[in-house]
Amino acid sequence: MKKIMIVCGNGLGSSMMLEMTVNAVLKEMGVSADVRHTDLFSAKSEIADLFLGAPEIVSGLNDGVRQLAGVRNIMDKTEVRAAITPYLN
Amino acid sequence: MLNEILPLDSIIFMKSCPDWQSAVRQSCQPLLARGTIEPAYIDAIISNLNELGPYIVIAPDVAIPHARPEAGARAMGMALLKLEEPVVFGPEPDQQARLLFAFSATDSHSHQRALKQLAQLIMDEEKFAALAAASSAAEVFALINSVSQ
Repeated sequence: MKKIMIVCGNGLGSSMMLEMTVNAVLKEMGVSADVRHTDLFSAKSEIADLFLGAPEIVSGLNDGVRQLAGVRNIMDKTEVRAAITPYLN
Repeated sequence: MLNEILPLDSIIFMKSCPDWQSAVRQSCQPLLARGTIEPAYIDAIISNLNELGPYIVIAPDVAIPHARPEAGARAMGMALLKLEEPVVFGPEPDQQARLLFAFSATDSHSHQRALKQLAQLIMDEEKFAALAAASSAAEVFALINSVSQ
């Protein structure tokens, strides 16, 4: 199962709301994944198949190895689906 | 839930704010008045945004100013500042907002239900259009009530 780590500045506002959208999208797609959320600082010591969040946040995790995807409108299921789909297989 | 942490008297209207810093400060005033935050909490929000960029703009027209519980949150609370003219948070066209939902939380999970209800309000096209058009606190509160359980 793929692990998706959702990241925001504080780990309790936008990441929590994005997690709800991701879970709704995964449900629609019939895909299960391990979805968690955290803050940017803690994310630096986490391992996941995909780090997802606002573009300016996830760019702070770019180490050339991690897979990152940015989402601008975290309430938009279409945008979220397009962002995570390439990383689900 | 949402209607308990975002009461009628915490919904405020303004024409415009000169910059995002003053909009964030204004949006937090009801929380300060209710005592759910300390003044330092507002400074923490502003320094977070300076450091990390405008990630609190979560959807077109919607921002959720907040900081970590230890930055000076005393209780769970939410306030809404509704602006007639959008305030600019960043260079992108979608980094502006007219609806600022400031909130405080004392841990990382107890506000989850309230945020879920806020998400329902934002994702419902009809309700969101009504929210954007609302010109009184009573109209806004009726919409908040409609997603609160």
